[in-house]
Amino acid sequence: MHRFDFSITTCLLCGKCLDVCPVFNGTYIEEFSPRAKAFLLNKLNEIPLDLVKVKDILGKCVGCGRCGSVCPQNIDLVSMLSQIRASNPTLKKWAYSKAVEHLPGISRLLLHSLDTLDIIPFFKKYEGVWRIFSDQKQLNILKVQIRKPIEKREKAVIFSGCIGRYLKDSWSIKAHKIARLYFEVCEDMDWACCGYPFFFAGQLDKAKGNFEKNYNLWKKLHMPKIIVFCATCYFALKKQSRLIPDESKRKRWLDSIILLSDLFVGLKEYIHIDLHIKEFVLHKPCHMSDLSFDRLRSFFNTLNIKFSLNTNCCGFGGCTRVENPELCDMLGKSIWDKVGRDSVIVSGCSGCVLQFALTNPMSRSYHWLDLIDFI
Amino acid sequence: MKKKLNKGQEKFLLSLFGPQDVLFQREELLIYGTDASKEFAWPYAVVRPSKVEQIVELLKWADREGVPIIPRARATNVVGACVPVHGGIIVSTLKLNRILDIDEVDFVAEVEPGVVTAHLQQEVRKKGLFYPPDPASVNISTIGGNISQNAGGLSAVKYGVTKDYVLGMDVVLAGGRILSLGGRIRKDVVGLDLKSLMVGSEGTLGFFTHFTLKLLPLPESSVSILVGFPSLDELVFNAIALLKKGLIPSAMEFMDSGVIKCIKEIYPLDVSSKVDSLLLLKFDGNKRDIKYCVNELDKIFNDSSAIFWEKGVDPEKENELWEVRRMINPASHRLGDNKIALDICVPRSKIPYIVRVSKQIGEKYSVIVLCFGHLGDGNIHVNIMYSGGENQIGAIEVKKEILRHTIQVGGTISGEHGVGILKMDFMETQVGVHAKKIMKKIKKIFDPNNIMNPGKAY
Ligand SMILES: Cc1cc2nc3c(=O)[nH]c(=O)nc-3n(C[C@H](O)[C@H](O)[C@H](O)COP(=O)(O)OP(=O)(O)OC[C@H]3O[C@@H](n4cnc5c(N)ncnc54)[C@H](O)[C@@H]3O)c2cc1C
Ligand code: SF4
Ligand code: SF4
Repeated sequence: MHRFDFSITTCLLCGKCLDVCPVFNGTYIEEFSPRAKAFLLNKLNEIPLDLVKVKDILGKCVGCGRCGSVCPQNIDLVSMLSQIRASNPTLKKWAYSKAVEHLPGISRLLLHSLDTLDIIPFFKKYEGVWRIFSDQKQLNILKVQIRKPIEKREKAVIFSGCIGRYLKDSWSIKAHKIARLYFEVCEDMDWACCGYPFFFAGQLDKAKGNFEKNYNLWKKLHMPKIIVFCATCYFALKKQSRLIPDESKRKRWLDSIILLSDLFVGLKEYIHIDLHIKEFVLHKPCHMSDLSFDRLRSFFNTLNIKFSLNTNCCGFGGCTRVENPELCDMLGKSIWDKVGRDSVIVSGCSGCVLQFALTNPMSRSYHWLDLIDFI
Repeated sequence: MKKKLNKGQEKFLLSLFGPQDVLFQREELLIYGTDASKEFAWPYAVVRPSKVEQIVELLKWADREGVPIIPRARATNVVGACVPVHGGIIVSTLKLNRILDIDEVDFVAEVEPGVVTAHLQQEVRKKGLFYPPDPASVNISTIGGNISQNAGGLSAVKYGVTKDYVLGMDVVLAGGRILSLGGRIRKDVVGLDLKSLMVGSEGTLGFFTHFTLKLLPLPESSVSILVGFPSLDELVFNAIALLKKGLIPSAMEFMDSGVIKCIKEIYPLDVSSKVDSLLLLKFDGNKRDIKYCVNELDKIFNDSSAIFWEKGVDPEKENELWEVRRMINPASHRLGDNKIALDICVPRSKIPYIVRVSKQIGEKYSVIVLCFGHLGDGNIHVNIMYSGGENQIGAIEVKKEILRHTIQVGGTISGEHGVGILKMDFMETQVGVHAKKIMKKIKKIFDPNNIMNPGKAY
């Protein structure tokens, strides 16, 4: 029997996490609940269990972190899953990180020659979606008219994340335009993935390798601000500050990471509206803080645009997206069922935007960057 | 784990529920062996019915085969009521979770057992109606679980507990017969009240599949008040004076000196050191009543020994005052990694005595005892805090002594949580040999082969 060098012993089995878990609420299957996973992790060293079956149960998690946010014991199940996967090859997840690694090369294939997609079944499964997603028309309802930079003292660099970089360069272009109003923006860097997919999959070496690459690039540029437009990349880059031993550097790294929407909401007075959609659904990404989301929400409120909210998890799921596509499809579709299949959903996380596109062929899924147009 | 079902039995379950909704593998069964009590025993299998007919067939079969059946909702009960101590089949109610009707004329809701209580409350509120029972677990527990444990909450002092809202129910009995009890009627004096017998039966009499619940009109407005007293005796004296005046709060909570001290460690609770105990009150009703109430309270507290009182008339301020109450749980964990949480209930007049005695017993065994809870009902949460193995033994002794004193003063060992397996030891001491025997005989009538949640409650 494999001995794991940690377990979750503090869980009270109180069940508070059940109510917030998208997987549990989408299935009503209790063994997939966070409480069940915490209990399983607690018992791994005590009871002989079949690790393949354990992996299957632990795999029914989309890494949203919601359970941790309500847990009276502050149990961070996502980190626990990451650690346990890292500690045992049977539990590790390979497919998604393989997909992320291949994305730069595959993105060309995705968009141009679809028949070569068989290398990774995940890409093949959604073969119709990629080009639509990538070529989708932008909404351009918020016309930004601004000539003069607002302030331009510090240096900054854009971190586009894998989806932004390889599938949606229109986002990066707009991000540059916004950032240039505030900062001296450097050339794009050859960033590595934010590391979240590798972290969640238990491939901690790769996550660390990516972080080190990104950290060194940042240092080489003399530590500029890093502007991020995907909430999950933002979350991951911040979380990895744990890997910086020097406290002052760690603080500097944390201070330099900026979520683009936090900047953009400051442009209210330079925006007028050309409304050609009736209303939209503003989605709260699990990895966006309440504060940043409230800023975005009150921004749309003051512009008097009609929108409703969706606070349920999109179900994208990182590595689970590739290994358990049926589960993630079901979770994404359940949100479309709720808001209406011909609604427009707007999010501030690239993963959510992709997830909503993958689960509705009408592809009315947008990043908030798709709403804006510079005139 | 010894496997307790034979191939034929497994085949039966598979044919009745389909492979997706039957579990036999230990990795999947694991969580179903436990609940918020942290006790554990292996079940033989788990099934997830989504139709009443499946439950009828299951209970016919299980009765014939002598296989224990353990209903399980969200497993938030803290007494081991869902733990399969004699093995058996766990029947999850999670897929039976529809609100079937909310009737604005009859003021009733018809629901399946797996509906989460707070979800029902939200839905009835949309229609201007109100389902009052509010255990602290309202967001995480179900109507079926609440009815089986007869759960109560803050509002019990004014609105009563779960049993006061059950008008009717369908119960599938061992052997598969369906018993329909009560209905949309508010009065019914025909025959013995079997419905009330079912409430609080901890899954031992039958499987509930449908409930008709009483609703009230939603109160228009509310006010909350936090009052500090120099002693617990003073607090209880004034609280009773207030009730005597006809001012019935919808929540009446107290916190003792130990609780105040530990909250102060993690929360900026700005009260003078003279304050020994806190009283937290909430009143609800129409706006005119609330206004009257605020005036009267000012008068009462002006003439009392209260050191301070602070009102919350808007939701934000009310929320701020109640935050103090919500801090108890996280703050208490500072005093020990573990706790034994008792939910004793005594006559109101005995509260100061039992709190004092509980603390003395704690001191004798060098463990910290915190007391707080629902003053209006005399329902006290006694938290016996301990860390590690050494003072666990002391904590268990403290529990026993407190329960003994509780029974002596005419109290009960459980006002809310039920007996399950954890309080079985004291059950007989409280109710007496005869009452317990009668309970067992009653169970035999409903469940002659003792398949429904055996080994629990009585
Ligand atoms: C943080 C926390 C706070 C709590 N606060 C309170 C409180 O303030 N007041 C209070 O009273 N309790 C409280 N509890 C205890 C618990 O929430 C209640 O006992 C609740 O009623 C249990 O509901 P459940 O849905 O989790 O049921 P479960 O725990 O799943 O089941 C409880 C019992 O009901 C039986 N059962 C469930 N469904 C059926 C059915 N359909 N037919 C027959 N039997 C059935 C089960 O067999 C079991 O015996 C708290 C628990 C926690 C963890
Ligand atoms: S991280 Fe999200 S999906 Fe995973 S167990 Fe927690 S709440 Fe459920
Ligand atoms: S909320 Fe935390 S302590 Fe409670 S059951 Fe879930 S993981 Fe355990």
